[in-house]
Formats: sequence, structure tokens, C-alpha cells
Amino acid sequence: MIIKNALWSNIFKTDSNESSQTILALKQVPIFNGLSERDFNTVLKIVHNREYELDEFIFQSGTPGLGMYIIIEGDVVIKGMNSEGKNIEFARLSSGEFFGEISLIGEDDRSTNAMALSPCKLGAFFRSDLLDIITRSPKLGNKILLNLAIVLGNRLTKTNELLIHGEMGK
Amino acid sequence: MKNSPLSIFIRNLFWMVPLTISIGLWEFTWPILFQLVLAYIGMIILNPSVNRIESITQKRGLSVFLVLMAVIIIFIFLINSIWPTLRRQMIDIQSMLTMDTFSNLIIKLELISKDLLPNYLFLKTQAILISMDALFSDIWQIITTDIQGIISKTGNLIFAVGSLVLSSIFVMVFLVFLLLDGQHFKRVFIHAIPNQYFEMTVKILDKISDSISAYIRGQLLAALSVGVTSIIGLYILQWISGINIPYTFIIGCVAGLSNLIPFIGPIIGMLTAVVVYLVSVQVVPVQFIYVVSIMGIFAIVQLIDNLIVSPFIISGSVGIHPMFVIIVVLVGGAISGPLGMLFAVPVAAILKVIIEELRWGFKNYKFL
Repeated sequence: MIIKNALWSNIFKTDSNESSQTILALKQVPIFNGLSERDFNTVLKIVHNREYELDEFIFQSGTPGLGMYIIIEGDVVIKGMNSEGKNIEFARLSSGEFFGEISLIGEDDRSTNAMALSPCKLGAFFRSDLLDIITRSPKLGNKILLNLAIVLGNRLTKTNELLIHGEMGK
Repeated sequence: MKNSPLSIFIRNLFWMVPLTISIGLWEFTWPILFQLVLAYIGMIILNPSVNRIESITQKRGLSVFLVLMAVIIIFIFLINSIWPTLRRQMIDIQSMLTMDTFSNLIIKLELISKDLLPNYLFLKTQAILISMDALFSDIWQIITTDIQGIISKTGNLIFAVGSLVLSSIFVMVFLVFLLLDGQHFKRVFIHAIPNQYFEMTVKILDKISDSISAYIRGQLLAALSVGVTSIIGLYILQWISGINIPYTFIIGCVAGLSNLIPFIGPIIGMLTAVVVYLVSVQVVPVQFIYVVSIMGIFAIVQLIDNLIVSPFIISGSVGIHPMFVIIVVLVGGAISGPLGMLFAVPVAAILKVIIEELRWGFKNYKFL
């Protein structure tokens, strides 16, 4: 019979509740579409779990872009300057949504600010993590890369449509 | 408050406490830290192979096991094939480091200069050699004592805790954990960093680890190439000219290791070979042309290293100014003798990389 020692099991336990919450959020992100449970566990080991307070910056424009964030809990606002130099709000995002994915590919500086609209939990998935996955598990890396290409392709199509319909200037 | 100073302090206790204990009890902890450094270097060397095998097997544990097994097999093979020769040469060279050998060296130098120089210049040189005899013999004594010290103390330094076998086991255990959970350790450290510095820390740690890995791999590859090509070159020279250059393996090791020191290192390897040639018993009479040939071999070795090996090494050099190299080597020598001189430049190069990346991070993340 295995007798569990409460003290040690509490010290060394992994927060399974937090892990399942993170996996649930990851499953909603199109970049991780079609991944198996084992793949999700691999990604889970790589994602950095962070907690932000209200009005805390997640990243600021002009700083080097490292990768994307997945909202596990809470709300985030993406702000930046428009062509007239006015500070405008681009998007409000909530749990299950993601931002900063372009930095997974390019090393350009961030063009927007991301700020917590409420106390929130985020999962950070960076370019170096993606490169690590590609080296260690090429099959999983390819799946993620293909999904990333689809996400960026969709965004490009939408931008084209907006341009064609003259929505960008409004 | 998550970002209050107390919260940050508590979150960082997990590395601050061990670090404080390590520094406070340095006398007892340094052998373990040294083993950790060896294990870290081992991880840097083996990680690409483990990653490659993992991409096929999809199992990290199995990949680590397979790579370590391969390393152990190669290690046993090397011990059986090269170690007896190397050990014999080390013992021979230790017994050779006497003042008689020094007198022999001076005689040979006189012979060569007599061959080479016009009579009046030779007489001048001889006079200089005689007048500087005391100085040269002092230098020789210092060098020989240091070399004997290195030979007898290298083992103690590498395996400072207990026996060789026990220490090897410790290094191996650390290596296994680093290969299996290296990424996890890094993530735990990053987790404790305040949000404000989170992205900067990730970027800086990645850049530092990439640069250090490239530097260490590059240096070891260059050292191996210089060592092996020196041995091959010296064998070819002996075969062609019939001269005797014993302790070829030791000379190869010296040339390879001293290659860690830029500018000065290649000269150390060359001088070792020349001195060994001059003080050994020769069937073919000692001539200046053979000294030049040995120098030529080392020039070719450097040429191969610079033209063929170095282009394959990314960030092999970290660009330290020659004057700074000399200062660093002297400081290293003052701190811990010849071994300090040998490792001073790599340590300085790694510190330079860390400082540069920190500066880059603080500037680009607008903290400077």
C-alpha cells in the first residue's frame, strides 16, 4: 500500500488545476489546432505561465518581439499609435484569445502595447520555444508552423479585403 | 501584491540562498561548483546530439541514455588505446624536466646559432647566452616546476572531491539532470523574475546561452583540430626528415589546450615542440632547418584551423583585443598559475558575452 506524505506531495506537486486551465486555453488557439494530448503536454512544459495585475504592461511598443501570449484568464487591451499619431485601441481580448504571434516568425520590434485590463493569467510561447520544438520534435514543430502560416495567411486575406473595400482609411 | 519587493524577494530566494551559501562556504563548495561547470560544458557538447536523437525517438530520456552510452563506450576505447601512451609520455616528460636538460638545450641553441650566424655574431650570441645563463636557468626552473605542478595537480583540480571514480559519477549525474531538465531549470528561474523584466530576461538568457554554447563548442573543436593536426604534422615531419620529436601526444595536447589563448597560444605549442626537439637525443644532427620545419608545421596547423575549421564555427571568436588578452592572461596567471593563464581568456570571453548581452537587453528594453 502506498502511503502518501501530505507535506512532500504538497511541496513537489504540480498545480494540476492550473495545467488543465492552460491546456484548455491552448486548445482554443488555432496555432495549436490538430495537436494530440501528448503534443499539448509537450507545449505545456514549454509555455511560461505569468500573472499580471490590472493596468500592468505585458509588452511595450519598440521593444524586441519575442513571441505570442495566450490569455488563460482575464482581459487584455492592445493599444498603439495610428497614422495620425493618436493613441488608439486596436483590440480587447479575453480568455482563449492570443496576441503577438507575428513575433514567432520575425525578430522585429513590437509595434503595439499590450496591457492587462483586469488581473490576468497568460501563457507565453516564444520563438526560442518554437525553435526548440522544431529541433526536438520536427513533426510537432511542422504542425505548429503550418497552423501559424494559416493564421497569418487568414490575417493577410482580411487585410487585403479591408484594403479593397477602403475600410483601412475609416 | 505580486510585484511588491517582498514578493519578488521571496520568489527569488530559491537561487539567492544557494548562491549565498556557495559564496560563503566557497572553500567547501567550489569542487562541487567545478563539477557543475564540467557537467554544464558536457551538456553544451552533448545537447545537439541528444536533440537530434530525440527528433527520431521522440523520447528525451532514451535519447540521453543512448548518447551517454555512446560517450562512455568512446571514453573506454580512448582510455584503452591512447591513455597508456599519454601516461607514459607524461611520466617521461616529468623526469626530463631537470637542469641537465636545460644545459642540453643551451648547447643545442649554441650549435644552431654557430651553424646559422657569421662567426662574429655567433660569438656575440654566445656571450649573451652565457651572460643570461642565470636568468634563463631561473626561467627554466619556474617553467619546469609549474609544468610538474600542472601534471600532478590537474587530477586534483578536476576531481577535487574524493576519488576520480566518485567525482566522475557526480559529474555524470549532474550531466544527466542538465540534459533531461535543463530547460525546466531555466523556466523555474525565469518564473521568479518580475513581469517588468520577464521578456528581457528570456531574451538575454537565450542570447547568452547561445553565445556561450557557440563559443565553448567552437573553442573545443578548434583545440581538437589543432591538437590532432599538430600530432599528424609532427609524425609526417619525423617520417620525412628522420628527426626525433618524442612526446608527440603531449605536444598535441599542449598545442590544442594553449590554442584557447588567442595570439599567445599558437606560439606556446610551437615552442614546446621546438624545445622538445632540441633537448631530445637525435640521430640526424640538429640543424636550424629542422627548427624552421617544426615552426612551418605549426604555421600549417594554424592555417588549417583558420581556413578550414574556423569558418564552420559560428561565433568562435568573441573579439578580445590582443592587449586585453595579455592583461587577462597575466591576471589569470597571478590568481592560479599556468592553469589560470590557460582558462583566463575563455572565462573573460564568457564574461564579455554576458556583459554585452546585459547591456543590449537593458538598452533595447528601455531600462538604460
